[in-house]
Amino acid sequence: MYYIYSTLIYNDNGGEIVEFTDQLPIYIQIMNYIKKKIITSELKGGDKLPSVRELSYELKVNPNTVQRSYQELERENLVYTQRGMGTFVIEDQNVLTNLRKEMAQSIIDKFVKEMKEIGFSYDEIVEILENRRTEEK
Amino acid sequence: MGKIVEIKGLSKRYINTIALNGIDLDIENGKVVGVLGPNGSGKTTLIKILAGLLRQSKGDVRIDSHNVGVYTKSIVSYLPDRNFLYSWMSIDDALKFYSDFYKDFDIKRAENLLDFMNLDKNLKVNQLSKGMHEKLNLRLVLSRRAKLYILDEPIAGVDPVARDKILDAIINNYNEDSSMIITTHLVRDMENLFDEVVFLKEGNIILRGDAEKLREEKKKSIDELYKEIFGE
Repeated sequence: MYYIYSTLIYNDNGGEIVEFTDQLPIYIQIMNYIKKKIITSELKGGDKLPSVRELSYELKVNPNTVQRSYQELERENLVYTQRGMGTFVIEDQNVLTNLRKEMAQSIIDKFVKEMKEIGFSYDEIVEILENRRTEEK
Repeated sequence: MGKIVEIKGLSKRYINTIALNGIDLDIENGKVVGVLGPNGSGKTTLIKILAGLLRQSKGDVRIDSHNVGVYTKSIVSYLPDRNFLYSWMSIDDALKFYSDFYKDFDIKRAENLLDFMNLDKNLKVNQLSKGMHEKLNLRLVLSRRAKLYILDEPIAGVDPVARDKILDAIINNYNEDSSMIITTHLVRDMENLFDEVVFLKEGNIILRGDAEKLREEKKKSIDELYKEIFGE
């Protein structure tokens, strides 16, 4: 499973997608886009997702792709579909907390991996983070 | 799921060149298929055969289980890669022309699209810019209730704003009961629309597949894949 945090590039007015990145299938990028909205509480438990058609129009992608993203999100138990009503964010707080943790985990994995690639040890990474925290205070 | 297009061993020769070299291709109902390839790869020949404008030299082409002919023309809506309207026509004339020609032409839909694309009905065809031309032609083609839409280079030579409008119109028009074949070499702009892609090179299909699967397997966008295949 992929959890790459910033696979989508946003613009400032309303968080619309401007661009997709190349390496990931579009449906996964759309899943991440929705997950991010859930994590930042832009979409809360019980909220309705945009319809497949609306989203495909907004993102300019094939509706089948958006459909697939919704199906996968449903399979991951993050959303549920009510026939004729639409797709909704799940209301289980545990699931949402886990999602947040998982996403944090994947950002850290990526960060640590890249830091190691350029030759930093864990101690050095921690040190840099500590310094940064003091600076920001 | 049924198949809207079935092609077996399709070849087309022009006097001493081979445009299509025995291709097999099936297209399922409800799919949007991108046919990709550089100029001269056989895209337009393939499409003209499907539209009934050319006859194959060899092979079998069936659309909705019929050989290409009067019936298939009635269910195929084709956007040629060049202008097909008379220059004396106004946009309004063009609408009437189309609704006379095709039983499945939905004039309401055309008028909605007209507003959407900011086109004035009274303009003459020869007063239109290239982008407006493209939008008008596409609007006519998409306003038919067809089972198969064939769009040959729908966004070639239009500016980015017009291009977005055209993509919107294509997405809006999409429904599960109809299929689309779109040729383009502007892969980056259109790849997110495709369920499947077919790469044509010198009259042969050299790669085809589900667009998402290809992205996943190759870890590349379709655009990058295109450059890799046709780059050398």
